[in-house]
Amino acid sequence: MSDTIALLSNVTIESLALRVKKEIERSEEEFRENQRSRRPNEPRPPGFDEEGVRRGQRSQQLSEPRPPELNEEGVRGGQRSQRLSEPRPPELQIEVFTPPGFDTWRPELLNPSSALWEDRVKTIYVILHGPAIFPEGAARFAEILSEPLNILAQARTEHKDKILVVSTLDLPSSSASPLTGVNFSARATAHWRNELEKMDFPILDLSELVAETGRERFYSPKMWYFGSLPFSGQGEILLAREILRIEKAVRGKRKKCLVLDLDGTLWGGVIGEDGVEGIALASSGMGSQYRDLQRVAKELSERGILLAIASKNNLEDALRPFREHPNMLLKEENFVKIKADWNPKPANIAAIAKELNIGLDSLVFIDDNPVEREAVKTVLPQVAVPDFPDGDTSQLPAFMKNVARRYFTTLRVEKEDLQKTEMYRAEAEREAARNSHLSLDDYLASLEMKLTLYRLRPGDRHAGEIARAAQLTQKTNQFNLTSRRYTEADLAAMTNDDRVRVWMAELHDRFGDYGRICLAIARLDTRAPDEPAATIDTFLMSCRVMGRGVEDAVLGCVERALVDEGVTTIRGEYRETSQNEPVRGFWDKMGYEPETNLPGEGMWVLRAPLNERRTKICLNC
Amino acid sequence: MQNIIDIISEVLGTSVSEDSSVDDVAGWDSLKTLQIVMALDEAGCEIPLEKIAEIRSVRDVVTFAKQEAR
Repeated sequence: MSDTIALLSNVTIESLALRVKKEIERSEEEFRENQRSRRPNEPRPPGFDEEGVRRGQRSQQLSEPRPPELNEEGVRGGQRSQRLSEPRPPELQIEVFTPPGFDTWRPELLNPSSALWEDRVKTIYVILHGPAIFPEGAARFAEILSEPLNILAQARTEHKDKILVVSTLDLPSSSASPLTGVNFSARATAHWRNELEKMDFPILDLSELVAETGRERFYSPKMWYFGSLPFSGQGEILLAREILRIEKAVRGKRKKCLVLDLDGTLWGGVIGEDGVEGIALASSGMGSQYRDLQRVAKELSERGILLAIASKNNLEDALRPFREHPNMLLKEENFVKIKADWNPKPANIAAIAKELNIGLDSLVFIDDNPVEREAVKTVLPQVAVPDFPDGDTSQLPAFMKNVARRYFTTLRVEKEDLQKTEMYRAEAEREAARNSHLSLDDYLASLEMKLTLYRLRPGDRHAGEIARAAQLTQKTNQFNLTSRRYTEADLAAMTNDDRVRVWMAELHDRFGDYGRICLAIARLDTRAPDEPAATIDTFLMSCRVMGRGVEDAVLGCVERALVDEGVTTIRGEYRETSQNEPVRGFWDKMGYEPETNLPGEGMWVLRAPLNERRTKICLNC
Repeated sequence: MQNIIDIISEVLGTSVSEDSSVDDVAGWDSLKTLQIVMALDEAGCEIPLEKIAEIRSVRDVVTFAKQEAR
């Protein structure tokens, strides 16, 4: 069952993942609330729970007397089968997964054994923070972006069963930009988007979200400096909702037909009373809000959404604006069904669904009249009936755009656009073939990583080393095999103890210096003189450098140092915490044999002679 | 102050008191601290960057938020 979405990013993403989960819960509650409010007078079934709600409702609906207006046998039959098969909304079943570590999206996509490729994962969202891609500015954008683009193209080619959704980049202009000359930020964001479009990636339009919200509200410098998380709470909520919206589109839950009312919805006023001259509908100024609303509906129809009309009017009156009003954007031929009569709207809408042979749950109904909306909600609970903005008609176009996004987003447009898509896709595949195949090893090699491992000795380096070592033991949670927390005094004592070895490692790559990111502590055990042993008491690494094989390289150096001292048996310890799940299988992966393996903790052993550990890192140890 | 405690409870998913601290609330990690600060920000209650790392308890949050309000 594909029920998991994965989030990848070049910045902290765990908080957004929690936010997405919250939005899923929220939409679940909304859904239940809706179901409940549609049967306000009925008591909750005993043993009320998720299943109970649905079962209870279904049986109530089945045993209900026919609504008087639905006497037509066919309609009622159609309705019943709809209700029986009514699904829960798709969001309810989505789990959210983020791979461990920080900024690991590239190695995760390249790693054939990443958890991303498990069956449960269906959609992968790659959300990129523009400024973090261009720490040195965007002048060399084409060169800098080529690697990420190659990785994305390749991941998709190799994992055709996954849907990769990629964000656009939002990149503020350099504050030192002159008024004339090239704006590299704008070029970089355009280049990224062009390339994604050429390769036909589904896009999460981050820069559009930012544009609508404003950078000031979307980002939070405080979160960025505290936790490498660029977004504000507001920004995260918008991103989470966008992800859910895309997820619905990906899962094909888009509605098929938009049913529109006429008076007060497509134009202002009442055609039967005001006449063609009297209704509000204009090409500019007052009345043009209705034209703008029509434009959105027209775009939907051009993208293959069916339009229909359900209006209480004389048919003749209803059609006059379409035929006579110069500012009607929508024409009769844009509609597949026009029901303008004095029948109850639920009956007309049910008839539209039946005649088009689509499910009631494929319909969205728009009406400015709350009484009509309520009638449709009550009689046809499967039909989506969004609230119409009351009071201020200047909100109508925005409302309609919202409806379009919420109910009618699709992964891609088929038919005539398909040809263009096909062309782009072929080009992208040629492009991918030209670019040499990228393996995880190639990628790691391209990082030009340099690792320096050094032993902490009493007094031979300044005191800052001890402080950093203590800080690493206290702050590192994910990649930490034993999670023992030490103070500076503890560590100073260890460096003075000739039976203890303490190492730290620094990492540097072509993007910059990561500083001291690894700590290993080994305790020597010479009780059995013929078999000198050592136990790795602490082995931890900052999550900023996970996914690059740094741990293999550090462990290799540590093992070699111990063997050089005559150690023949090395034991690795593991103590489980709520956060160190990513390293549960570490010793096993490193070739250690289990010695004791109790729930939550274990001791693993490796005996000399040791095999050389393969690495793509230039070692200095 | 009750407002701040409510926000913290909401983020941590469990009811906390002024005496609760990172050591006795299960799952209160640095990510949760970050979300608490974020939620307080949204509610118009700012804790300065320098103080975030010092947060060890509900009382700390209340103190830092009050200092800022003054």
